[in-house]
Amino acid sequence: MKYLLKRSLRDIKINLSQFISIVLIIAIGSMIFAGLFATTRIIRTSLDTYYTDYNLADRWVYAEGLSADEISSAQATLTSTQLVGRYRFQTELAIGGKNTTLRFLEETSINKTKLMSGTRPVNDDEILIDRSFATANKLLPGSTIALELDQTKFVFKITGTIESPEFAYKSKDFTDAASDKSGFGVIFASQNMLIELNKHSFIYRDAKASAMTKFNDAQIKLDDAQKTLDEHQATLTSNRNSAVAELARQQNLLNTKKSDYNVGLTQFNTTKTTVGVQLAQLAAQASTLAQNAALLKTNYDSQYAAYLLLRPDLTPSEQALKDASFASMNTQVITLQTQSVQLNGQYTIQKASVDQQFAAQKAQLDAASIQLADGQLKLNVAKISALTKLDDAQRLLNEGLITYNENLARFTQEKSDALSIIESIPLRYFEILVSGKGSDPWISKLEADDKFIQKLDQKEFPGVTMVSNVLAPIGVMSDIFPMLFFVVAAVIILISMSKNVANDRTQIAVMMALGYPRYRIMFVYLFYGWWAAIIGALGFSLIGNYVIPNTLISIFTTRFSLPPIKLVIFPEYALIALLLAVFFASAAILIALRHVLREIPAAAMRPKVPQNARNSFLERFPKLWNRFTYATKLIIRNLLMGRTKLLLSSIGVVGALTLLIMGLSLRNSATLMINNSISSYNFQYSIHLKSEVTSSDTITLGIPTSAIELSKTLGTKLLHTQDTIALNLVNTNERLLALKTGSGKAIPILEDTVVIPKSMTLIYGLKVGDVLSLVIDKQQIDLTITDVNNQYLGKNVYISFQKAKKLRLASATDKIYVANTSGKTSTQEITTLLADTNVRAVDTKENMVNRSKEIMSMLNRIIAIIVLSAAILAMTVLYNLASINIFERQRELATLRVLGYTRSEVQRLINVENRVLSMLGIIGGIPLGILLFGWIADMVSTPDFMMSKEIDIKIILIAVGMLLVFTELTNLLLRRKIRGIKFVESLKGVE
Amino acid sequence: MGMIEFQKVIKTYHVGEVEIQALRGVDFTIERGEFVVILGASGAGKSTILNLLGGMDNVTSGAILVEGDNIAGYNDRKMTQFRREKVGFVFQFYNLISNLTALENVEFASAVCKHPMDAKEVLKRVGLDNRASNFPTQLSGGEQQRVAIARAVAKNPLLLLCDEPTGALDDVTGKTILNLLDDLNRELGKTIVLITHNVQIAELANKVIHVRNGEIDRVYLNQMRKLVSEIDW
Repeated sequence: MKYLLKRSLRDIKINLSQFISIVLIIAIGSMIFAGLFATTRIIRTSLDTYYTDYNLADRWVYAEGLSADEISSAQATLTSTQLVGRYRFQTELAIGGKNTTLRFLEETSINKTKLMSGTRPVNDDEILIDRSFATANKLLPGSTIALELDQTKFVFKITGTIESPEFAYKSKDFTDAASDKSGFGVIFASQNMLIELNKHSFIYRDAKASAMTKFNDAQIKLDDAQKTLDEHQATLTSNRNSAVAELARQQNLLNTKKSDYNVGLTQFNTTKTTVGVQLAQLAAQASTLAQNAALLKTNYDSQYAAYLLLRPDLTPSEQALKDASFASMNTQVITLQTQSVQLNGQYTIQKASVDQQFAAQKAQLDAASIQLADGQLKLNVAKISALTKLDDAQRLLNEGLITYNENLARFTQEKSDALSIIESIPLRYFEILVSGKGSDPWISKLEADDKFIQKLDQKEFPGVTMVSNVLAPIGVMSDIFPMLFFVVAAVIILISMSKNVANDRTQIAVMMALGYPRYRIMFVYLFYGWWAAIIGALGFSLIGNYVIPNTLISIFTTRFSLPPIKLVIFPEYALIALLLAVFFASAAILIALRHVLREIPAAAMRPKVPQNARNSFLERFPKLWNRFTYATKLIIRNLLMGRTKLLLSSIGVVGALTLLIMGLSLRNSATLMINNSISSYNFQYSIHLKSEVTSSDTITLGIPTSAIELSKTLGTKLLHTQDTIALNLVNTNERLLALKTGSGKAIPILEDTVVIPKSMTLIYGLKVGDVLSLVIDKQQIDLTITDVNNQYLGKNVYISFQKAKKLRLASATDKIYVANTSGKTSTQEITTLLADTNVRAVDTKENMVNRSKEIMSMLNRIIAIIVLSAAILAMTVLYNLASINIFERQRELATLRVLGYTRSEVQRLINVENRVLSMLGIIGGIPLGILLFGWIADMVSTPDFMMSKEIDIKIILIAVGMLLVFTELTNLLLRRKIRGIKFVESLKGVE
Repeated sequence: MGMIEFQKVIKTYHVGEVEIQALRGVDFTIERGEFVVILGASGAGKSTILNLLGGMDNVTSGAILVEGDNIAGYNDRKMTQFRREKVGFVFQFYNLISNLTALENVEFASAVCKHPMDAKEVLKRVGLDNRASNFPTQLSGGEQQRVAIARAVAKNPLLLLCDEPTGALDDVTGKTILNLLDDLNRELGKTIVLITHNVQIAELANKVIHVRNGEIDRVYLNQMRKLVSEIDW
């Protein structure tokens, strides 16, 4: 065994550079393996411990304001789940001229805080502040923060700084991809202070303002109703009076007519009576006359009859005298009778005439009487009808009045109730922290009661998701990279061992002839690999376990706000790395030995039959083949002869190019993400005004400006998924945000333009023409997508202010974008702006870009590691293979030198071969790199941090360029090898 | 003055801490068109002479004049130029480029020369025109050596240096090769320097230089050069 060990150590000494390169590759693989695994484990473990120790909520529930009683009642129904309501208040404050968001919270038993410096507050005006915000804004314990809310001043004294597991990743919103340590501060204050602050909360103010507006509107309507009722009453009374007067007038007229009629009737009757008397007199005269005539006649008749009886007794003269006396008497009777008839005739005629006249007059009087009766009847009916209607109207009016009074009473009661509810808002909990897994039934009840707004589980929580986002690429790299390096190490070991075994062929045969068992011979070579594995894996994995987590954790903690993370060394990773390295090395060595150990000693002692050269397929095209120089032909045939070597070397080159494309594309995507969201802005300042405006025309600033545009962001939810979407209102024809399509074409903002980011097309499969349904304040708005901008960061939808007005969305804003005339920010301008009484805070585009670029820091380091690894991988593989190639072809190269080929000509042959190998690797590496990048981009992407999977041709060219540079560097290193060929020695010996 | 003159050539090697004096002040002259055999036992210094003469190695001291130029003072570039233009090598183990066919091997070597001969003609001259497209591994040892000779000759060199050209060949094949060299010397007037430990081969030469322990033991001219068919070993 001692001999075997010695022998392996001598082998190492002979091929030290090759051994070092193998160790280096194993070392890098082991370092990355142990380092990345340790990083992931340290971060995960320390975060898990942190989250457990400080009782990170399992769920955040947002409701429509629950009272403490409601939460207690809900808690009573849950057994293994704890509910804790927490007051929170958020406001904005300009610190050092920069707008910051402050979130006040109360300390609760869930999401506890870790005191990092100072002491916990005792009084209501004392607060704790999160460490990163305190550091960024130089707010030390003892200093104060002053707030003015609705003309009420609050001064808080900072007693200490804290870290909170809830704000391990400090994003204002759960969907805000970018952490903001300096612009977003978390403050812990007493419950009393939170209640007091909540009286200035937007919810309270908005609810109160909205309710008061509604109450005022209702009061105005009620007053209007009262007024209308009064008017109606007045009108009704007036109408009643008019109707009564008119009816009276009509009655009077009727009465007058009735009176006239009565007079006529009386006159008629009087006349009738008078005429009757006259007629009666006439009749009496006629009757008397008739009676006289009758009496006379009777007398005459009786006398005449007696005469006739006596006549005969009388002389004729007496007769004649008598006769004449009787005749005269008769004549008198007849005259009297005629007179009586005449008088009676007169009477009859007069009576008939009078009767006729009276009858006519009577008929007239009767007709008038009927008319009067009818008029009276109609008048009576009209009177009844009018009075009935008036009474009905009066009744309805009275009823309306009663209803009005009832409503007024109800309104007054409800107003009082609503105001009391609003006044209870500061005491209500809108955020409930849940510890435990059994809160679903309670949430269902909240939903049923229409009080549920939103919930967020721990697995969706930014402190967890962002850690996963950050650790995902590390995880992917820890899975891929070490294996890649171990495989490459195995490849190099395989090739170099194959060379060593070929060189040692006779020695191996001698050892076999001397009776050494094959396994002992095997060990000579295995030791070589094991040495490399032990030195590379054991030593460097421990270094990797120290260096890589140290670096990555320091970068990680710059993005996160965490208590210090302790570095832990995991010896098991060194052991696993060693086992992996030993496995790969042993496998490679056994493959290299497989032929020679199978041979019998005598056969092994004979030189190995040289490999047959073969024609290349290009020789089938003589016109082409004959155009090649002999050097080219030589290179082509060399490459074809060593197909295995070609394949193996390609693995390294392909691996290196894959790493380069992946690394550079990841960086490009991240840069693109930032460039598209912030760097392309055309404004210099983002300004928060002290009061809201609806037009930029009235804004005057103390600096020369070329454009001022309004901006407003409304929080909305996507209808179907409830995902948070930021709806941004922008000016029509805006040019300061400069939204662009994927091809870089500007998107004009017209009245009905609806722009969604590229990320939303990828997440939701939306496209131009689709309807985007958003919910804002429980109101659904449907927007037809017109454009897609090339943005991957966050979910920002853009519409015009005009469109917002059409949709009746609140469009007054306090945020403006300002482009100055110089196109550059200056401290003088910032000072001028801050001195403006209308300006609350000023942010610059530069600051925004710089903050976003923090995201890049970790990625940049990782990409630097990737590029370095790729360089080492490419160069080590190319160098080793070329070294072995040079060694194996020493005789050929020496022959060329002897034939008169200069060193540079020989060098060129090797260089070209390396370039060809690189080019072949490039052909394979480009698609693999694109695939790997796509895969990693998918792994790294989150809905708010989408990585574009688009491959930039420039990146491919840069990666290829870098690989060619590595190739040329390798060629430079190989110059020494070629110079070192001693052709006299090389040309000796059996071929 | 001969075409080639070795003047007090000393060559010392250092192998670790050991100094080996391969040549200890060698003087000889070779005339144009001569067939010279350098004869000596293994380790006598004959290969060192060949290497120095072929511009493959540098002298420790002394001068090597080739057509009046001292190549001992050449830098690497001039030495490469010298090898390219003036020297053709034939090795014991042929040293053909395995990935080039017979014809390509010849052409490849002559491609860097100013006045090369026609490769096909030369290959025909060595009797391998029918194997021109074969790779070295497809040729016998003798054929490979003939290709090596053709490669050396095609450069149209001033000097043809042959290092044990028959050392790896059987008798019959060796004689064929020697015949070829003899023909080249006689018919084309090529100056040939051949090193061997085989005394019989010395009988083919015009001049024989005996080397022993890094020194010239003796130099003599053969009054009657034998034909290859007349020698035996």
